[in-house]
Amino acid sequence: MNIHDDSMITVEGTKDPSRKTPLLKVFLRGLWSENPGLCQLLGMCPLLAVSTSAVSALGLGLATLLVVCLSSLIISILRRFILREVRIPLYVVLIATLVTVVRAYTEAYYPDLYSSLGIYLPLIVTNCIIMGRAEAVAGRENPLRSLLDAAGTGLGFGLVLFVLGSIREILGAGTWMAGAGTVLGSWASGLETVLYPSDYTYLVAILPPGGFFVLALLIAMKNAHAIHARNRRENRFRIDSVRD
Amino acid sequence: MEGMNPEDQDKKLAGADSAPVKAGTEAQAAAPAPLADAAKAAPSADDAKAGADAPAGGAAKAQGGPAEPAKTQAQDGAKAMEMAKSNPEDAANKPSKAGDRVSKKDAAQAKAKARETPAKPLKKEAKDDASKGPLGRKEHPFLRAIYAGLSLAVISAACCLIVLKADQATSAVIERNESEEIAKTVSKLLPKEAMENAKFQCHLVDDARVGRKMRLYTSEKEGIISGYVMTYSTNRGYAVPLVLIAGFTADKKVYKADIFISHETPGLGDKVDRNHGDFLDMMNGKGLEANWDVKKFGGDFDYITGSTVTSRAVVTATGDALSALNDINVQDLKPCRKR
Repeated sequence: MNIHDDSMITVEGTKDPSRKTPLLKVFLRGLWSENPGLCQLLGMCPLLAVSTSAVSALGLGLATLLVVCLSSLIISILRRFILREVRIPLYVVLIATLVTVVRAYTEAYYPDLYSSLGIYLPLIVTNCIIMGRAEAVAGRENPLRSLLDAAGTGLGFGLVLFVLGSIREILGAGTWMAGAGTVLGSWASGLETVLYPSDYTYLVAILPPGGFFVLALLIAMKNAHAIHARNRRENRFRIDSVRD
Repeated sequence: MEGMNPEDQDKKLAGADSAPVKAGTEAQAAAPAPLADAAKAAPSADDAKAGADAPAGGAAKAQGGPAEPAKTQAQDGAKAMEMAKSNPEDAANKPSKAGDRVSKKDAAQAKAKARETPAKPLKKEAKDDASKGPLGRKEHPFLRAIYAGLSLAVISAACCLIVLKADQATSAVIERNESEEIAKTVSKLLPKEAMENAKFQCHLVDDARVGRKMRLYTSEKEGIISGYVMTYSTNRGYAVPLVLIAGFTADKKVYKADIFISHETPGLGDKVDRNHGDFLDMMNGKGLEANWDVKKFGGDFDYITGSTVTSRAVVTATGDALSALNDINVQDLKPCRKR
């Protein structure tokens, strides 16, 4: 029994089924406490492969956000008509359709972004974040909650991707948002900045190992923050004289 | 849970006798409470979840059978209450959820109400069942399979339609993008006088020196070829594919070369491309008579420190492309296929 389901079954000692997670928390948990890039460690392949520059990372983040929101919304609307036994093939068909449509429109209207993302745009189909949201939330909750959850998760993934891409590009190439004008449109050309000459760059950041290094640093920082917050919370209840 | 035998259920109902009247005034609670107890009795919470979450009305099954379970259950509830009335001590001793708070009078009251409105709990049950599964409660495995197949087919067909529509809507734009891209590349790689009033034709080149399915664009002016643009690939770089594109003048000298597709190491191998310098301009105006290699290997060309491999790959590949172009008879080539 799903505790979020509208049900009259009440079991003592469990959560009150009528009390749902607040909508804001549904949105925010994907951004921070259950971030797919830093906590769930899902979607690592595109995360590490596309984050060599901030612009392509941003492009893939936006594409993933779009696909995860649409797929969660559609699956949540259709969830009453989907049998448990065939839900996985149906999810796959729906997600693949969405990705194909997004790919076609990207190829038509953002050809430079399309060529810089390469294989990773069609590979969004296999991104486990989308399947995970469909399985965990969209197949059970109402469309609004599913959409909020998907938006939070997609945004969380996109932000990690963008931060990772920015750090790697700044360290490895000495630039930030290079190529934004050609990839995202002429409005973005003002964002392109050269921070320092390429002779002084830390090249390994752009190479594949650099992706792991920077991601590991980000995860370590996230964990350090979580541990710090937990310690503070626990210490609040301690008596000073007992504290060692 | 589904395989629970009737006696057991009766016991459960008897045990839950006071639960319906927990609300006291609300007789319709008579329906949910035994269900709650049944759920509690399941070996684990997960089991209960499986039973209640099954989209085909697992809850209905738990009530003892698909045929009008709610009604029979309401009767059961009433029966249970009668039992409770006949031996109230027994009912009080049962470790029920809220049993202690219930008085006999309340139970009688609830019983009366339950008799008055037997349809109410039934209605609620039915509604809940409908929300659990798409097929309602009367379902057969065969029917379920057909429904599964149908839903798959319908959704797949709809998805297919959407993909076709999207493809239709974008294919023209994609094609235009591609031809624009080619025109842009070609116009950068050929001298202006070779471009004016010229007709472009695309040919496929299959040659060991340049690779398979490479493209050769010729610009023709009144039947005389005024320039060539050819793509050519090499596997001497660090990562394949490394494909270059170059414009050649009518007398088969390099006019301008560029990188077409490159996966060379960023920061090292990409120093040869036009975003990072004018290394490729070194080859401009050179014909087949030049020594197409880097100086370290006895050739005519410089190379970039830190990207010797890529520099050499680019130079030797251009030399190979030139020699291939000299051997090629354009009339023998197949035209490019339209995508």
